[in-house]
Amino acid sequence: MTTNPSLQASGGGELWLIRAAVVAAGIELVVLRLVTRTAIHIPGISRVESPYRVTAEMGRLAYYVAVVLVVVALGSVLWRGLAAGRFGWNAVAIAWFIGAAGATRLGLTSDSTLAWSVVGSVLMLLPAALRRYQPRMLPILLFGMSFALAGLHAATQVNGFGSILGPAPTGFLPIAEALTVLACIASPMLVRTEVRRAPLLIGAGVALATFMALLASPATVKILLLWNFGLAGYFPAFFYAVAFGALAFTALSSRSTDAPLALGLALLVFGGLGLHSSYQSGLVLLGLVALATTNPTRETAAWIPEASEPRPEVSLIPVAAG
Amino acid sequence: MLTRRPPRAPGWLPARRTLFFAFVLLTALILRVTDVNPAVAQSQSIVAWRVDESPDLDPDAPIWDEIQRMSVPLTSQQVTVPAGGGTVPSVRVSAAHHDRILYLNVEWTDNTLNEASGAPEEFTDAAAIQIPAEHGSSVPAVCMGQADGAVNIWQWRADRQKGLDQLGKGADFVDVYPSTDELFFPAQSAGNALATPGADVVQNLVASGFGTLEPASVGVVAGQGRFSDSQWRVVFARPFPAPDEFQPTFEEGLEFDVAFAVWDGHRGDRDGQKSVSSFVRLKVSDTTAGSFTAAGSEGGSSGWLILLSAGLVAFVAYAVVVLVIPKRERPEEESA
Repeated sequence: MTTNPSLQASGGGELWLIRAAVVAAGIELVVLRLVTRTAIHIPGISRVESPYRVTAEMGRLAYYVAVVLVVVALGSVLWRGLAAGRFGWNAVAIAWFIGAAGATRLGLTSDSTLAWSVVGSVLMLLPAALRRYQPRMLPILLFGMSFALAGLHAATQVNGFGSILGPAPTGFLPIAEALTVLACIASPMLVRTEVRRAPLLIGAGVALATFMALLASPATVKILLLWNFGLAGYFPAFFYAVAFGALAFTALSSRSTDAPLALGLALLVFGGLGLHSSYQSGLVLLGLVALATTNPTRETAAWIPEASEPRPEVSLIPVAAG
Repeated sequence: MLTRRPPRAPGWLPARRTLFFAFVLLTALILRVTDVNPAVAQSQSIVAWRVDESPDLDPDAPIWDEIQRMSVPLTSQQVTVPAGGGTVPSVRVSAAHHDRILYLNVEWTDNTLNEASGAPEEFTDAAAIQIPAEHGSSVPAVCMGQADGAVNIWQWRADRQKGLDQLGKGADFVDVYPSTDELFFPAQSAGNALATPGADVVQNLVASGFGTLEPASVGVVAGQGRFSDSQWRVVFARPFPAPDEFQPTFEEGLEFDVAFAVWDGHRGDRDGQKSVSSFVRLKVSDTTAGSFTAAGSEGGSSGWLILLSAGLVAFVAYAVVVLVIPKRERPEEESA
């Protein structure tokens, strides 16, 4: 495997940082976004108020930990790119996003600045991820375009930007959601190992559970989809069931053989299509960075012949860091 | 066959990682205790532009074509019975203000016109806007507010508009009960706004939690709806000053939270069974829309087509450069 000189310069070994961000964001998603938001509506929750408050506090702490880790991870990518003497598209993308998020937080710029930075950063980070999965890059392309469209929706909805060019189209979100669902369904294309039974069974189980949940209580599940993943539920339940099942299969299949893929997909899911905050946009961008990161675990796959290539360095610097 | 794990990649030693995680945890704790959130919301914003010409209550006034509509996603109401709805996926909202009156134009797709609710299984189309009474305070619960956070709700109903229109025009006289004695109009006698002729098209309501919804004691919200081409367009209008402490005071330069609800009578929506949004932001701008909407009004969405097409072409060109050019031709990898 050909390695990028910036990878060698980076010193590598920081995939654990992305892994830590995934763990923290996962806890935040489950505890803060899911449990505390739904438990408040359970009749009689006041009788277990103390455990509820402790759980909610743990979720908030996980949120802050995840925020710090996302900032540090993105900053690390930027820093190591600069240290390697490279200020390419990826560095521009991350610097743009971090700068816009910081300036917006401080009230120095309008909301549209941040929204446009997300669109631009996604498009600039996307080719590096596409290149890594070439030629089976369709799912990555679909994911990237869906997040770019979601960002475009946010960008055109704030501060009347559309008034300059006439009323902006309002159909970005359904298209973005369709692309996301298609990306999830197509995601098994990214798996480079032979199909294993456990991920297949778990994926089928996730699909079945999603389908049954959507049939049993479509309204409730759609609320949870919207809150947690930014999906409004425009399409029939079958598509979401297949999409979630396929995504679970892909993530589990690649967990031990292509960690960046599993982590990247997890970050895209945790970030969600809604892009409700700069934190969630940061998760998505970090997910794209992970997808473009060299695979340190690929050689552990049993199906790969005895190593004939140099062992790849591990780095947060994407493959096409130019 | 490779079964061994690769040696640990060069990087941070476990001790340094432990220190790093301690630093992350400490930073997170400090942020939590001080309630400083480094992230910033990217929630949608509706901008109410100042306009030179009053749109009045005309949903099809030309000014609305020049103002950006924001699409707000809706979902079903599941917090309290009767739960359900969610059949209207989104509303498109635009806003303006003129002569210190705020106008909100709410538009949604509805394939059936339902403006009668006279029979037991007949339900009307309707729309509502909810705004916290206090600007700038923490956002109250989206479901009717909370004890320390009242909300002001403006509800427009198609049946109410039709009924009032017809009363005004003397139509459907056959349905009007001939007696004028309040004894035969118990709801009217009890002060039920829905049963009171001459009442406003838009109900102005206040609430501070479930079960507290009641008509506002003062203040009028004007409204007018129009149905055509499977689209409902409803304009709400209210002067800036608040009539009482349960209703918000609008001012240029201020931001408010606003949520929307839509009832589709054909699907049996009524009461809590409705499609609802979460809160989005409403900015009352001190900028005049006409200062930059001229190009938009002339160009329609063709400007967008040009922009999106140009963006697509640029991205494809970039992707071709990155993906199609063989790796060996890329200078950084030659050096590798």
